[in-house]
Amino acid sequence: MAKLEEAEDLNLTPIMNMVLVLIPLMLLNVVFMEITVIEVTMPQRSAGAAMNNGEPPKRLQLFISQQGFTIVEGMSSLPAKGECPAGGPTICTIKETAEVETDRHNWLELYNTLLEIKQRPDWTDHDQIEIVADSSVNFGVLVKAMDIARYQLVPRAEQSTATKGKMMKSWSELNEALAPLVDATDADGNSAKMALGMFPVVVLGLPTVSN
Amino acid sequence: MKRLRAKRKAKRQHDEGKNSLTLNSMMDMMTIILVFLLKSYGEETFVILPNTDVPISVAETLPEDMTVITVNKEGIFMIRERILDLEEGGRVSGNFKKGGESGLIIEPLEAKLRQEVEKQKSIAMASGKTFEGDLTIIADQQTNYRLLVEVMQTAIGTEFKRFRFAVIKGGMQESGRYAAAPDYVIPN
Repeated sequence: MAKLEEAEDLNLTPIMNMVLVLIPLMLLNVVFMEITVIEVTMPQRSAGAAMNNGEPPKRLQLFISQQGFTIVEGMSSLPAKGECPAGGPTICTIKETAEVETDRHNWLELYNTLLEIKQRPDWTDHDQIEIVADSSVNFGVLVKAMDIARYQLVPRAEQSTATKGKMMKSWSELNEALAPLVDATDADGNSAKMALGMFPVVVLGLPTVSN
Repeated sequence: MKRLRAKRKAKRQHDEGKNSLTLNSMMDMMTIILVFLLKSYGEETFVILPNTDVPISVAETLPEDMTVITVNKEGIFMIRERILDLEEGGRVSGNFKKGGESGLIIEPLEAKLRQEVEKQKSIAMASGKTFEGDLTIIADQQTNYRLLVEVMQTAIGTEFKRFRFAVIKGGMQESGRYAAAPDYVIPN
């Protein structure tokens, strides 16, 4: 009887202490993903934009296909860059056999080309880009294209001091880059530091036929 | 008799000692965890279904509480309700679309969205607000552009006009790639 009473007399304090240490450690290792959203619009009619006092509408379009990107500035598409074949997309793919579809495209060239357009005086105030893709282009590529087109970027160290985006020299520089924070007014009319946009307003068009 | 009384007293003291296990630390721990989890759960406005590999983006706009459609490898869902299954290659069968294979309007989704619009309008009217027509789309990384456009065109036909793509916040390097934990379910 006495032995039984002794067996019941367990001291749980060390276990409690251990659990108390383990649980915060485990909680620290849990990754909670932060969900954000990208705002887009889609016109109700696919007809061309209205003429502006007889002038062709000012539009910047980005066509995404499995072969690369075609950029249309106003009414004319930009010629093929670098070693891309003439008559093909403005920026062709660089790793056609890459397993992940986002790895096939030349994002560095796309960013630099869009920034070069944005920094021209006649495009500085233009905020909108129309993105149209082949039917087969996947959502991941679309998200990446929007990320590239929506923000101007600078090297990480210059984020708080830069007032405009910079051309990126390498992939690693692009991957590490951040949007410069500039004084702006938010939707509620309050002044705040906000990421500097390139073409932040994204309009999606109807898909083109897959090749 | 005295011996028996002393024995009882000793037993009572022994039992009292056993019951005096301190639970303060455990209570503290439970309180911290509870507050932490409640805060985390309260911040989420929608659910990411399993098998939905949401891409990563540098976008920083926070989501709002609104109508949510999920498009993943299996089908199209409204919140957790399956609206229709997808064919091989992530396409909607022509039988479910107005105009067959080349059509852009998905009929079962259109019917469901019309019901949702009516519901949202009556909620807005009751609370003295106006129906804004906001729709959030949670899409799998592999969803093809045509299917996305079909979903959006169907929604446009039912008075939705502002769209948001849900993404997981990350850096430029991870942008457009798979989420780290595809089966992770964000609690509602």
